[in-house]
Amino acid sequence: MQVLVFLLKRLGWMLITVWVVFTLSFFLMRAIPGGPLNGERVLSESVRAQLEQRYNLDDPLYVQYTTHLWNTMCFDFGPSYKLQDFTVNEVLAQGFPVSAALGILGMTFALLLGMTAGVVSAVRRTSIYDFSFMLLATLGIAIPSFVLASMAIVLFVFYFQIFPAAGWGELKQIVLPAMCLGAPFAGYIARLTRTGMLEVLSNDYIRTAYAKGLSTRTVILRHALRGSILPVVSYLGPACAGILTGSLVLEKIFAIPGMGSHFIEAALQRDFTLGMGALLTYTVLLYVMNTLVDLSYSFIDPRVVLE
Amino acid sequence: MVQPILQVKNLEVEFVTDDGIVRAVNDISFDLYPGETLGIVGESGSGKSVANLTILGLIPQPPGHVKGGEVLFAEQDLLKLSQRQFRTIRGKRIAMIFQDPMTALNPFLTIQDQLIEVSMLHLGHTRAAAIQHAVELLELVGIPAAASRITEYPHQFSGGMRQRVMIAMALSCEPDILIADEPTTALDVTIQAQILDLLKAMQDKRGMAIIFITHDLGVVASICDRVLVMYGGRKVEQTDTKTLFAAARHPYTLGLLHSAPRWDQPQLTRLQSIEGQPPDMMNLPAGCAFAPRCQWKTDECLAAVPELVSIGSEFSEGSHVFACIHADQIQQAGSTSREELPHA
Repeated sequence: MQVLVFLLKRLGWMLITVWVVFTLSFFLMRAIPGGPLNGERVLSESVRAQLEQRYNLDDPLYVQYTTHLWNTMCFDFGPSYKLQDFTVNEVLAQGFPVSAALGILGMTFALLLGMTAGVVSAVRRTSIYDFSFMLLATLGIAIPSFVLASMAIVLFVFYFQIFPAAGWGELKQIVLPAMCLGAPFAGYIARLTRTGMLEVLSNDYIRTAYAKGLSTRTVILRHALRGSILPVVSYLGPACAGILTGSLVLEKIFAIPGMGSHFIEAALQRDFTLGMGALLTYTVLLYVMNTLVDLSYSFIDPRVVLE
Repeated sequence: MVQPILQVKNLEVEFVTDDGIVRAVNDISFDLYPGETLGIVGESGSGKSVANLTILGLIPQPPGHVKGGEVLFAEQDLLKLSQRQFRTIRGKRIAMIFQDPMTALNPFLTIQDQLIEVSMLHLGHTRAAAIQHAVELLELVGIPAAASRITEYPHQFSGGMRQRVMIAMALSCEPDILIADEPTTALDVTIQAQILDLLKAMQDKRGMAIIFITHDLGVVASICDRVLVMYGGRKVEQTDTKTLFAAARHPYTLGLLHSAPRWDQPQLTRLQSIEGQPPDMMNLPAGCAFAPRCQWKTDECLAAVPELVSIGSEFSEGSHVFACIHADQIQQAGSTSREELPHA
């Protein structure tokens, strides 16, 4: 019941947030110089007028705003200005699942690797494991994804010849980009887990658990892990935003038909409708992720009360 | 002749830190007999907690390091056990309760989760049997509506209730020894009395031996059979409770006694404090650690650490061990009453 009220409240706030993002982006997009019809080809007056009419660009701004807002509320983002014969909905429906699959895989990889490394580093503090994991974590954070991707391609595609260089559709093709995507996040998560775990391990209740005669493994897994992943959980919200914006570089390198490239091109080519569609998708996604993070807090820590 | 259930012999524990070596426990020896309550008294940093954590193998190593000594329990030296062997003793045969019940329970797990894991581990209970056992324990330690409250979390319990839960947890496997590390310090006075009564009742029922660590002489008087006084990581005095209060022979013990209010003294006596600071455990003075704060100090005190002198055999009433060369003088000083304040 409490959860339901919380979710309803959050839904209300989400609608407001989306509206604000919509309004700001709508006017910002039109405030910058250039429009969807400024291309390399100079259009004749009549063609231009016809095109403007087709895309309602000749209406006054407030009419454009209200029609666009109404259509958006009906989940219709309109036709793409640049990708002819495609509606924005179609473009998103194609690209989003690809980006999402890549992101989910990358995040899973980052969580598995990062948390394992973090827990081991904390439990075996100042050991060789700790030093090497933390060195790797720093490298993972420091190396830009395109450098990492190039190195991974050289190593795994040309030298070992395990994975294909690019493309989409097979499981084999998703491994390299997902790992490159997850690497910096794995580094952050490893550091956060290590810090969180060390803090938890210094608590009195850990000593109590040992005094009961529990094994180190039980103490870590049952008593310490839950408290130590709280910092990781709060990082997951922003991390999901990062993994989406980070994916566009990798989508380019590995020729993956995701959303990232559409987003960039929409912005560069003033494709108002596609840009808005991508932006709102990210907004909703980020909002949902942050809500899930807040919700999972209350599941992890019984002292947290949902508001 | 009753055999001691636990013998600590010449225990020495130190902590290696960046600033130097902290000698937390120096040459501590004591015996614990079945069914008795041994109080260990001393101020913060006197090594009383470290000594007892060492008995359970719970000091973090590093930086902690057991330099020497033996802890004999059930015909084996606990200090030589592997972690795996140690786990069969911790929580099962020797259990411990801690100072602050607010932090000693895991806030992320229900009371039930924390209680049943002990008996499931040591007694081989099934989950259902363990829950049954846990409810019985909670009822035993006086938690009302135990069956329904058991699924709650620690933050839904008051401080006194949490300490009762800790006691229930410690009693889960009917241990031979219960180490209570200042179990009442974090509680208010009425709750303190309840917890002490509870511990006494549990001891009567189960017959376990209790090591009671405290700095509160009032608590010592109400629960302990014998008392060991620690100062600067050393044992400075050990005797039965009655003798300690009547005829202390170490100036530190006397100082402690004089700094506590007593109902059998005129109400207008001035409480005396012990001047000075506790010793720096990194650089203990060469002679008696208490000498810098002692009004009876002579050159002899500074020359060498005073030997432990023992009078009376271990079991006879009035057996007394102390480490002071001016013990007779101090006993006399203790028997004269305190400075009386003029009536206003």
